Amino acid sequence: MKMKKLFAGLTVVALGVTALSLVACNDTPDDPTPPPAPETVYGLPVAGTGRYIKDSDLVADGDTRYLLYSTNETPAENDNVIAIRRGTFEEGEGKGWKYGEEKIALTGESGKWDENIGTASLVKGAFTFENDEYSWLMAYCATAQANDTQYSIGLAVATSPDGEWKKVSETPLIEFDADVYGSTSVGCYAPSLVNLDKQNKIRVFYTYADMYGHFAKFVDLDAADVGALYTDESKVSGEVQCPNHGQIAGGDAQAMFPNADFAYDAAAGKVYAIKDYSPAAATKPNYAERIQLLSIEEEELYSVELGGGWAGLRTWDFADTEDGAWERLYGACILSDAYGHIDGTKAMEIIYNVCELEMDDENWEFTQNLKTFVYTPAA
Amino acid sequence: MKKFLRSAAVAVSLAVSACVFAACGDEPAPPPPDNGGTDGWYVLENKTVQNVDTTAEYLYNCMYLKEGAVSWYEIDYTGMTEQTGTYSAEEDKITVTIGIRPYEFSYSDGVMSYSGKINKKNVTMSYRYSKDFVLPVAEGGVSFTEELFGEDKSENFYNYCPSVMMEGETMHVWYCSNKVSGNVTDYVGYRKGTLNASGKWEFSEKQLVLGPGEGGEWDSRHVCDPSVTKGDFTLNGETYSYLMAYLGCKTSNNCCNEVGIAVAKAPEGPYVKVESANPVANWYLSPDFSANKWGYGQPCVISSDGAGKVLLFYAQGTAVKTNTKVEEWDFSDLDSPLKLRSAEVREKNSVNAGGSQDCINNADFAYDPVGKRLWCIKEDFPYPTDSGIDWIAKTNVLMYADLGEDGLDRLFGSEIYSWNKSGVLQPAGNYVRAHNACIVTDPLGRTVNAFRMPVLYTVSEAKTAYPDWNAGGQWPALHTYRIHGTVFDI
Repeated sequence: MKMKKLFAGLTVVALGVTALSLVACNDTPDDPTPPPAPETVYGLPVAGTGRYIKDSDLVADGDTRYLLYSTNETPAENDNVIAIRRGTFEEGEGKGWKYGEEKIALTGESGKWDENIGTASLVKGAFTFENDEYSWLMAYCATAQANDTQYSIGLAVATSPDGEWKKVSETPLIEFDADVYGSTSVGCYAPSLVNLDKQNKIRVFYTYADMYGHFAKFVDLDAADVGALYTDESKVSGEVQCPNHGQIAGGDAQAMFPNADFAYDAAAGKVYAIKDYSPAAATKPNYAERIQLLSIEEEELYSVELGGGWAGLRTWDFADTEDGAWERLYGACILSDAYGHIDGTKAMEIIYNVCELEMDDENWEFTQNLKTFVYTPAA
Repeated sequence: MKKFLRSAAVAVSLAVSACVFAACGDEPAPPPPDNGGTDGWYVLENKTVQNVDTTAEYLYNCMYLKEGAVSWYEIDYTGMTEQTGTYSAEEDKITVTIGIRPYEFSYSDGVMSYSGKINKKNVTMSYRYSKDFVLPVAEGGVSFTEELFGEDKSENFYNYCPSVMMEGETMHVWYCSNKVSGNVTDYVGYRKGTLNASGKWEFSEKQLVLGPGEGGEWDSRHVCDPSVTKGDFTLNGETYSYLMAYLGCKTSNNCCNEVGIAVAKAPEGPYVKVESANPVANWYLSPDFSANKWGYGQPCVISSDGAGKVLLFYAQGTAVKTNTKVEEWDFSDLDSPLKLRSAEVREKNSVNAGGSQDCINNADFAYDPVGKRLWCIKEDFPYPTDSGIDWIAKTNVLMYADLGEDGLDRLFGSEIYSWNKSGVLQPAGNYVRAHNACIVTDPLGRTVNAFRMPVLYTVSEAKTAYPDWNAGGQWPALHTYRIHGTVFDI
């Protein structure tokens, strides 16, 4: 492409020189045609050729949205990075939310525990780290393994979601012990943050996967001083396993709770979750074929007494997708405010992943994109 | 590219000159030369993966660029891969696109250089323009993943339990086979494989290099499950470079197996049994001895010092357990072999294909001295019973243990090491069993590739696929035992 342009340019120059000679050098060469203005795209961003967008987290900070997701740094290469886009809304026909330029928020570090970075979640709050103040906290999962096993969870801070993110430690905060729990397990992944008091009482939900299955857990952090989380045990609660009974859709002997995103309705005292259906599809890609939205009374998280468990609100499968085109639905999140809070009485926007099947596209990994559903609670 | 630009510049200047001298007449600028600046063959000069030089792993690795189209050839012991795509060239950059994947090479003085991630690994590659290069073509041979060799299946011969040593473009394969069609008596067979220019293997005819002993001897019924390592061994004043460990027995009921050794000066033999020392794993003298238990067998040898010291792994089946032992021996003087130390191979996190805890049995081992990893491919328990076959494994697990700075010494220490599953070997196509596998190593039992693990294994078809097979017994499946290769990405 460039060579032809170069040749064309030279021809122009040659002709221009000739013309100069003929007309006594009064004319100047034509200006090159300016490039077209960038096109404004409304709606969720679509991955370019050889790229994927997956495992999103979407928060609304006033009139601005921040879409956090995993994508690849190199075309057609599975080298995950965490990216973010800022979204703004425009009223009008054919308008709506538009997401701006993609920025790389976080990358893995070669030779470190987080060499292969996974997924992330962010919340707003009031945090200090090394005597500096930050208003955004990110939890991300990563692993030193290249085969999607042994994930652990670490933290990063920023003053703005699309600014510079600073990793808090050289080691993970929630660490998966492969020696004890198995080197072939996925580990601790899919972190999902809720800022309980909208200050710095942070709940880190995550999926814990070992040889027995995938379960939802959480730890609570006193994150006023994020650095102290790594040095003061009193700032980090013990881990709690979320209930896994109730109206959980699934085909396993014991209900699984994989790859879930959580949101908090403080007024109603309820926690909402959107999770992958389990078991995953038997054919590649081995991802979920459905996603399910559930809720639970908050107090059930704190009690060993068996309550009613999770209420199943809605399950979506291929039939709910446009033209029934997508057989893989997974990696969903609930749009929340910047603190991970929602009003459970209002409509909820769900962002989820789709992709092609391997039998239809050997490059299915690079067909992963985001879609959206809206859930309207019953009156 | 630079040639083209220089030519174009000359064309422009000529056109300008012509204009000046011809009082600016109508002469057009001469057309540019054909795009011959980048087209042609580019041959791999150097490739690193995670800073490990992998250049020598290729028989050929080259690209042919022509008029915007590219063919990329990689030929190694696993065969030839040809990828076709397109390329675009700028002054100092050539972008090769294969499918949806672009590879941006910097270009300078006939050299294309790449640096980036491929399959999550840091890769650097440089290819140099080679005007006279011709990619050789060879006919014949078999690919690494096909049936490598074997008798016609109208007869009753079995080939199984390979042991493999790679020396340059030569693959030495020892394996179990029978001598007479339809007669189940194990011998150790040998074939030499040579890699041809197309990445296919050509094997020599079968030689039986080890046979059962004389009547009543410890190995008078069967000799099988060979494993060979290179080193420096003397026996009765003679020096030998190849040491084979093998299973021998004098029973016909799969019980009371033992392990012995033999030496040779060449891979194809002749092999001299070390009768003064055999069996080196003596079941009958074992405190675990029982006449109706499996005993010792399925050995694997790897060199521990590149000379006369050898690690001998072997399976033991006793009344209370099935697992694998490891012993270090000094075999430098086989007239006085010395067992230096012994241990049982730990099984922490050893699992089967289904992820359940599993013992280490019928295993082969290889050592990665750079990563300080011990690799193991082992068969999975429990044996399935479908297809009329209940005596061999269907799947095998490839796994590794990080031994740390102590390396192989850690096998004998008190510090615990654990296994990490890397891959699963399972049958494909019309084969219902994948069993008796081995890791392809260098002559000392070291891994041959930092990122790929080549393995040979035995396939079997279903016994039920041959309901009218005249030979009966296990022969309806046994006659289909053949050796194939596969490669794991690690």
